[in-house]
Amino acid sequence: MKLTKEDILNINAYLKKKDIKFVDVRFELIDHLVSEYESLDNCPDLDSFLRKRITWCKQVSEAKAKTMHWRYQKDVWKRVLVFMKSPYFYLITFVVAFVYFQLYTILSLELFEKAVLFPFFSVIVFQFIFFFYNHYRYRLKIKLLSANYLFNIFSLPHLLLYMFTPFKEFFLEYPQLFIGYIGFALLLNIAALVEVTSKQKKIKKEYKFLNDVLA
Amino acid sequence: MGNSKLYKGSLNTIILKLLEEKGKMYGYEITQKVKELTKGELKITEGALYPALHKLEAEGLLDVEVAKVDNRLRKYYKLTEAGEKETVNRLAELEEFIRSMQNLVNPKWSIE
Repeated sequence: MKLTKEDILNINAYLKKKDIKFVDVRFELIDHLVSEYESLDNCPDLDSFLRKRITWCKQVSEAKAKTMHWRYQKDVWKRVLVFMKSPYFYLITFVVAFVYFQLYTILSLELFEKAVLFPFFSVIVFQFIFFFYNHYRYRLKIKLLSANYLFNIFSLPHLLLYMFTPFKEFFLEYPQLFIGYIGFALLLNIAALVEVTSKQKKIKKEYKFLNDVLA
Repeated sequence: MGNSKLYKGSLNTIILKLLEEKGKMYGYEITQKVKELTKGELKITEGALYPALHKLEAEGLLDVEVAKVDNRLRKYYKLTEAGEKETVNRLAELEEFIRSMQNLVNPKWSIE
């Protein structure tokens, strides 16, 4: 039995009610459910058909969220590798190291420490503003799983950037290692920022496409 | 079906092989094709199929294409270039595995 547009909208509403809230997950499930229902010889009542399938629909939704999270984490590392393959990365690292070495020889230790921490705090402030402005705007506006999990990309980079206090004593003893740590944390955060920006464009495009087609 | 656990580890390879043959397929079509090819012996559950498809997509082995069919959207999966290479590798691995199992279970029988 062929399902009408109204039936499909009812399936959509049912899945939404059952907490499968993201369009990019729902549309694939809807297609499967409709295809299966239409292929049945003795079509049961649509409600009971859906009730029997909601468990696996939720499983699929949850599994997709996990996959998305780990895929994003992996993408950050891939971006770091892309940076490292670029000759500019080595050029920039060399220039920064050279500048800091010069500052180290010219400035007093107190001033040098401030010079090291300046880019560190600049990135923190910039990311803080970027994160809150975009995070909530995206989550509220775009009901896609890919958008909802987008800012999870920052989990590890933020952890490194903000959580170095447990190693405070160690870093005070070996300040050179602290510079290396900051450098790595900054690199990871920049990679995450680039990754989020590039994904945002794709997500906007996908959302527009889905909205246009589903309208 | 006798023992679905025996098939479980081969789900990704089955998906890749089907996509290699058919070019592009959607979820429900995959479940039906597997059922048809195995004469109902193997039923891939949706709860296993979609997570596997999403993982393969995340690994960059599958690409997706969305098309409007009737009053709904349909997501087609197809192999990427990396997916094509991976399919060849996984099929070779599976063949090797079957050969080893044959040698263990029934040394006189051969798949060649």
